[in-house]
Amino acid sequence: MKKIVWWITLILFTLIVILGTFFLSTLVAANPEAVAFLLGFLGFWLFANRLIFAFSQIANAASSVASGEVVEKEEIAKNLVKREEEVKLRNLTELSVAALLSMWRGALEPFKYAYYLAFFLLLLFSVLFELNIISSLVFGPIVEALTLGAAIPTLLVWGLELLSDYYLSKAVIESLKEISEEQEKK
Amino acid sequence: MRKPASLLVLISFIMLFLGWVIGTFFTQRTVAKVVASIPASPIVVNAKYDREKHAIYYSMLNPGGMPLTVVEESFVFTPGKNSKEKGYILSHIPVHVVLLPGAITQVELKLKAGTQKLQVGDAVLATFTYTHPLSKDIYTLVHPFTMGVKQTKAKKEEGGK
Repeated sequence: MKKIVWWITLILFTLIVILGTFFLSTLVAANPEAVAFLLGFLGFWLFANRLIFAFSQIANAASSVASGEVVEKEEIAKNLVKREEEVKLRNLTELSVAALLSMWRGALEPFKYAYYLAFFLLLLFSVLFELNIISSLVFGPIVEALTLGAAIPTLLVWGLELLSDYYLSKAVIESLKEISEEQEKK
Repeated sequence: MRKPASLLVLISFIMLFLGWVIGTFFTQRTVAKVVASIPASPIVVNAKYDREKHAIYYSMLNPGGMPLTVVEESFVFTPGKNSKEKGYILSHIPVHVVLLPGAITQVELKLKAGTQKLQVGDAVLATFTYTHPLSKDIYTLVHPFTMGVKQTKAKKEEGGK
């Protein structure tokens, strides 16, 4: 039974790949800029995916912390480690949620840097083509279409970064207040 | 940028702008492709007579997006008052000059060898035959050339009298 399912899956996969190649090649012949735009969008989304989801999760959790709701520490601590046992090893659950969130945000910094670097290089090329510093009738429009496609996930990343920063700073202030109140009680 | 609402407004404005840029880009590319596929007719922007080589040089502009090929030249020579030469016709001179899209190309028209140099008032009516890559049809361009500009002014004065 398992073998049959495996074969069906393989045949379906091969069919999809063949159909996709056919579709893409016909589209390339008719409209290369549209394909470049699509490739730029999908390719950059592939690398932006981690940042987009992490920043939106940080913004979400930080806004609930700021408004005083309870957030599960284990769920957030999971994102900081590779294996779940490491959460215990590092004593991450003893930290406050806001501290975990800021650690998570810090862990995203290298990915963000690499992503913006890649986008900047592409943008640089398209600007060079646009200003005719290097000129090619074939590659100029294609690089420009790639950049435009890549600009969409980049803008999402940037917006979510700003939003998560705003909510995180609110959550940090909120949890600092709680800490000082506890110390006054003692 | 204190409130998330203002952040969202900012991002949505940039998103709208980006969408506008993308739409403009694709419209522009489509229009450019359509325009490039329309064959245009060449325009003679300048004609000059070279006395030493005994030839007329035409500067032809191809305003379209497709290359045109000049395949044949013919001309009718009509002598003016100052010329002792008789009128003559030379036709079907095969040439092969490609007029690149959007550029000005020089086309040479050699006058009959051994004839007198052009005098002021001599007229050359040149016919260029050209083809474009989309069809097998043959098109013609006729350009009248009169030697000397002062002569035409004098003519106007005569007409005034």
